[in-house]
Amino acid sequence: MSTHAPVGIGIIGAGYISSIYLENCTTRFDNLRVVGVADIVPANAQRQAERYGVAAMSIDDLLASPEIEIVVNLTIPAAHGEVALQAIEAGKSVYNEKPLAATRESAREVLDRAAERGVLVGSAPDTFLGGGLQTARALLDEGLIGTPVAVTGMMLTSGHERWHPNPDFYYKPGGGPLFDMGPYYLAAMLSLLGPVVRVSGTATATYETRTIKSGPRKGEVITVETPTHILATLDFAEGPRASLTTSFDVHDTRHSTLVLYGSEGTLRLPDPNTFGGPLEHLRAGADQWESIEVSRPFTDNSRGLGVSDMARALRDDAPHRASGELGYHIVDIMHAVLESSEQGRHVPVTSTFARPQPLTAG
Amino acid sequence: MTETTRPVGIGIVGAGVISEIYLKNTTGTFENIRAVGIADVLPERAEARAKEFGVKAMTVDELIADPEVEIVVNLTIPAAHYEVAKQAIEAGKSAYNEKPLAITREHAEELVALAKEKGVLVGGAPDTFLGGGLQTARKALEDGRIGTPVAASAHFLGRGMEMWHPDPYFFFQPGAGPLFDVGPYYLTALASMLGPVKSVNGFARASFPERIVTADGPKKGEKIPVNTPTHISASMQFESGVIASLMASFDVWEVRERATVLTIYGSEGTLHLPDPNTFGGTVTLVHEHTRETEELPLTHGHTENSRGIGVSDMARALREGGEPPRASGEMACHVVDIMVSVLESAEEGRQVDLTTTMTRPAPLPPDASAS
Repeated sequence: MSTHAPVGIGIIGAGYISSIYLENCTTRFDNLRVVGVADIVPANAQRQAERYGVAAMSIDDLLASPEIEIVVNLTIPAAHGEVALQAIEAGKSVYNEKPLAATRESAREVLDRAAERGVLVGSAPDTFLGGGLQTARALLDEGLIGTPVAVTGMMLTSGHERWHPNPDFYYKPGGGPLFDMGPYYLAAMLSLLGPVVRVSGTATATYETRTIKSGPRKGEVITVETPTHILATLDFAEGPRASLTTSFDVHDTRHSTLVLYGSEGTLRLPDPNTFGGPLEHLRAGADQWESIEVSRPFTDNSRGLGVSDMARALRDDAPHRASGELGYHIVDIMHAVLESSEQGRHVPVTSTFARPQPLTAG
Repeated sequence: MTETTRPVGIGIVGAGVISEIYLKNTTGTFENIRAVGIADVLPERAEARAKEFGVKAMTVDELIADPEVEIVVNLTIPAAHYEVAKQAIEAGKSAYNEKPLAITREHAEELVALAKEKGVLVGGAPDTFLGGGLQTARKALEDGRIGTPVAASAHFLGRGMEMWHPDPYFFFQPGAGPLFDVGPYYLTALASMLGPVKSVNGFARASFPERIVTADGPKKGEKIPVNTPTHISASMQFESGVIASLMASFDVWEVRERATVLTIYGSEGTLHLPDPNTFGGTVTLVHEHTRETEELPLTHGHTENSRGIGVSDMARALREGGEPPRASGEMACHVVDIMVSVLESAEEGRQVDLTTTMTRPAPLPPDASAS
């Protein structure tokens, strides 16, 4: 049964996030087999390889390995495009951590080259495949809240420089709250409501500098080079409107939330940076949330679920859910929001994607 | 009684639902104002209110011509706000309009200019920002409790009005919708604390092309065409650099506690403000560094329904001078400009720069008797 043989994967980038990918891909997804891990710092690859019982490889060896069909690209965002292109040139499918690439141009090149080479592109986040958001998807499809009217996302969290010893990337282009956290909110909204056709944005960097408050670089001042408080409105092709606020300047747990409004009721969605619940439902005319049981699997940190889904697609020659097109649309929207703010006009979004099918159990 | 202590005579035009609280507060609550008479296009409505509160029932022309009337309080429908106020100002009276000051930017600006020309005062509701809740918040802001304000959120979300209002037609027509109907409370609260808005950007949509009256009454089952946006999602940039998110909806189901969000974020903390359609309420401060939450004791009175406090303050300015009226025509005009500009931005697909500006009203002095 060669079509059911596990898909060999190679991981490039042995940083913090690689642990959960390695753990999940070596233990819980039967259709994946981790062949090796590589990093520009070989010692990092070595450490993770030993810990998870896989091979430590050089990047070149990993890309040349005939056993590897999917490269999981966990490098820094600025390297996502380049590493993905190398994998594609080597004939591999590639799954990038979010965002798909730092720029639209780089993301487009990745998609175009992959199409030419006949390989697949996928992109995190895959949290929308988790039990919480998939339960929401099922309820939406069943008509629980009628026709979608609006969705609001607020992610307001300040002060990464107080606890993170190396917080520079949060405040540089490609970082900021929109690029760092926006993909989770956007992937959730898009997977539920389909493509966006127009955006408006208002963005600012409230503070010109940040001072590191912990670790060996304590007292060092970072220059802020990207907006850190961004208000966006999104116009979906199907009609609903979204309001998305992301901020590293102010903190608000009271109002930080993701809510989907429909003609017949409202669903309060889970934190889209998680896989599980809680989910709450407000019936039309009621004034109390009712708790909803999460009925779909993958409620703990299941990062790699999108890779497993892509491996299934490779074997079955079927579409995968955390797709490159979705990843591109997210990158396109985020840049359009900043452009709108800079240019003082609403910006049309021309890219699109096929709304992913719900994840079927099993 | 000397000329400077004699109460200012008030004439009320419009004897609808809202006139009750104005009459109550202008016949007892505020000592420096005294309702003289009331007029309405329906004389029997004016008659009924006049009898109830012991004032004179008059025609609009009589009321405006009455030498005892110094301020005309204009409680007519929004579409009539401009005409009635203009007539009063031209007759040499000061005018205080229910919100909004007018439904177009041009009319609002004209009223402000005309009042200046005639040497009278013009102002407008809402005056809830002078209530104990929002004045406590203002004081916290002035005292530096949240450092420098950097951002704000103003969200009012609900599914109205056809479920509970027996005659909700007007809510879905131009000049109303959630932005013009509810927006002035939020925008006035923010403008009074953060100053003028520089530009706005946003989307607006009528999610449902028609509404069906489900409230009990003779109109039950009637279909209402929706002719104005009922779901607005926008941003505002203040002159000070603050950026605020504005959401206004009659189209979504939301729980009460999340239906009215008014929050100001600063460098040192966050202020959660009460529903700006009330005078009292709870003011909560969250400290930025410790994330600790503190409910602020109210430093100001007027926590009950004190509609008319803006009229009383205008009367104070008439008699004593000093601070200009706090619920000023300039601020009310700016609020109209913000609302009109949000809808323009949505229609034209661009950021809209405001053409009006304003000065923040002075805070009220703290009230030793506040609880």
